[in-house]
Amino acid sequence: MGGLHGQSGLWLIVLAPLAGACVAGALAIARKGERLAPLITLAGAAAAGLSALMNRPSRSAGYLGDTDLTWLTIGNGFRISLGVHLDHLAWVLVGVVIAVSFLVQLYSIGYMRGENGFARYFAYLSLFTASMLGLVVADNLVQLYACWELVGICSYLLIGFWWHKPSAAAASKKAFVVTRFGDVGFLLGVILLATAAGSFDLDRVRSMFQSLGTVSQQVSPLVSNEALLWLAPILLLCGAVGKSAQFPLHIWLPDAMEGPTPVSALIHAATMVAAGVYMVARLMWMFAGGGDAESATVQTVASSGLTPLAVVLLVGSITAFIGATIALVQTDIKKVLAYSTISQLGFMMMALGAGGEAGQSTAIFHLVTHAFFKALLFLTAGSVIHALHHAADPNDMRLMGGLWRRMPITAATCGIGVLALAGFPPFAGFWSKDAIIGLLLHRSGAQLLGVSGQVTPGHGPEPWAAAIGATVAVVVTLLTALYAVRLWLMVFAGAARSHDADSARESSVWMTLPLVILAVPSVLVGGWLHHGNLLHGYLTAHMAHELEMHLPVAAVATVLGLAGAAAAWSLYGRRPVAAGSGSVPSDPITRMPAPIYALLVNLWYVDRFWTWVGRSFAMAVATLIAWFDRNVVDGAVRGSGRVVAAIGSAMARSTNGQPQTYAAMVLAATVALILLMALYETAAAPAAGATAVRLAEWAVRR
Amino acid sequence: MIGLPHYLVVGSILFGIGAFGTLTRRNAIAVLLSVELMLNAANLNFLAFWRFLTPAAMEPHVFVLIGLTVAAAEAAIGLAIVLNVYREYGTVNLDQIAELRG
Repeated sequence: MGGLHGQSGLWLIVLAPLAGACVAGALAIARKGERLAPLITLAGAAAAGLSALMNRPSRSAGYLGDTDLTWLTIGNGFRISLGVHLDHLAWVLVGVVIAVSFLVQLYSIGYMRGENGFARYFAYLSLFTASMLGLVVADNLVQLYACWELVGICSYLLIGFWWHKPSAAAASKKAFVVTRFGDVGFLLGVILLATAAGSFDLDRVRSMFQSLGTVSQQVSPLVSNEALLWLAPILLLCGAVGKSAQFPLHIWLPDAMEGPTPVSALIHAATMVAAGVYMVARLMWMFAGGGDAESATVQTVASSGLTPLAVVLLVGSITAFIGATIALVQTDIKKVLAYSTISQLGFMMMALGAGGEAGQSTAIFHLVTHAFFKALLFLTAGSVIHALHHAADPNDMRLMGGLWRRMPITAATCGIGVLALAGFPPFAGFWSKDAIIGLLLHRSGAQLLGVSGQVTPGHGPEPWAAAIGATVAVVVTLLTALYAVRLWLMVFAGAARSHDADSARESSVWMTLPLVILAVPSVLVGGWLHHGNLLHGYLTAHMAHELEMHLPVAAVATVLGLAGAAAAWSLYGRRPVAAGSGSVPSDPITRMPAPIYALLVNLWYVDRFWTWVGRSFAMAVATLIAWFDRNVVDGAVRGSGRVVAAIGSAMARSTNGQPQTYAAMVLAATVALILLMALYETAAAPAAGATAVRLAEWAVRR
Repeated sequence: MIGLPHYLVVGSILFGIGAFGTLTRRNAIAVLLSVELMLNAANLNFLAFWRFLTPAAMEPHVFVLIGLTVAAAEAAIGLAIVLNVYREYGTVNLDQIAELRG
């Protein structure tokens, strides 16, 4: 425990945005001074940022923490605390969350100007920021879970911000319900771990978990030690799959684009969807198995076929591939970015699946670079949509084109974002993506491209899973460059394909300023963090050799990226997309083989699958419950009503208006009471009864 | 020798006749008379207990006097009510006065 306790300023990290949310919420309810709301919430974010800057855990020290606050005490001192646990990993995330949140709020001043519910919007944003920070610094499972659900609620509120639009209301509901599927698993995992450790405290859970390999008796009251080693991480992964939009629960994220675009940038690209990745990284000790890799229990799990790490890796691989392929055929600018986010989140999961400090650090590296360049891309998309908001469908890329002449700042910053996403050197995405490919190659034990892979049984995922992951990563690199460059060319290159695109104008300085600010880290943050060895050195105790960069790997990835970009150029750049004769110009990407196109445009039928599940399974359960409700629950209610009515009518019949009947009832009742009392006297208190009898005898003798 | 039981038996018979009359007579005046019988049965019991069990106590006399007073008041109010009922309904037959039927 290297914790320095009693750092009072630490609480500001969570409380300052929360206070901002409360004040902005009060303004929204009072409908007064709504224009002040962004100033207040920005001040809250700035205060949190300052507190984080002043409380940076140094490279050699442990974490900064403050866990003095007791939230609940259950039974004999079973304590649930509220705490701040600011370790290196949490500090990096706190920085990203505050930075992106601040810039998005700044941008929203311009984007949301004149909207109904201006203050309400900023209250939600600030509440989200507070919840997300509370999640990141959580030191126990209950706080983690509570904040996890809080960010979900904020996401729901913000997706449905334009609740009067039926599609937005449906999308918010879908996001909430779909993530709930994963959260059930998360909750079960929390319960499983807490019952085994006897505490929600993460330190206690960790020491319990790491002793699993060596203790002989069963720790959990519910499952065996081997099962706990496998089940607990898988259940927690369910939560991450829901929140981080991993296959097969990724379907809510594209619909979440119904919310205001800055919200998509903050919540559905940079921060909330990274919560699942962060959680897995934070609990890496759990996914990597118990502490002692040589112990028999851990070896049993490792040799059982699919380690938790391999599951993470495969889920990430499927997600990255599916997301990238679907992004190819989308025509809605925000949907392309949404599927791209799904794909990139898959990348982060793949890095986590590689396991160990190296996997943790690489995933967080990609999370940081992605947060900046994807927030940038979403905000540029917002800028474009804002410029076209009079159009029938301001999101349709087929109706754009030629915007670079009218919106040069947006076009340039979007170009930077695209290059970062596609992973071209020296932009941010290049460094983190190559780190992931290199790490996966290393874990697969491959001896190629300058990588001399090494596999230690009990550490990391199965080599075959890592090999699949590396292959998918390389393929997805090509696809990413293709859809990213396609997006830029369709929106900004060529000639305008609609009247609205022809008359678009550059957005105001409130909106372009955050774009320019975000463009800087989108270029530099990758190389900066990589070259100074800043991130890996900060997060890991010792620099692992798996994290070294391999030039041949980088070269292959870059060449593949260039191939993707060239394909996009040949389709969209060489001969600009024609304005077309119909109302909507045709998209050259539709010329791919029909079955593949059908598969992609139908989203790999995953949505259809869930709809089918909803129709058949959920409807069957619902029908059963409805029957139960109608006949048993309602039956009990109606039955008791009927009984009362029957008694009432019987009583009414006796109320015949004759005083003599009433008098007879009174007399009968009195006699009955006297008899009962006599019975009681003789049965329960024989002494008293005997006294009465003696009294009577005495009276008779007299 | 006449003892306490004899008095109590007489009181019980008196009470029973009163109760029977109260519950069965249709005429309101007769019902009031029957109620007086029940009250007198209670008074008789009081005095019988005083005479045989607690001859030194004075409280039973107080209770009997209160009982007589209440009976007189009850008779006055009861007859006034019956008179008013007769003016209102034109009868004192209790079966025909059933406004409170549920």
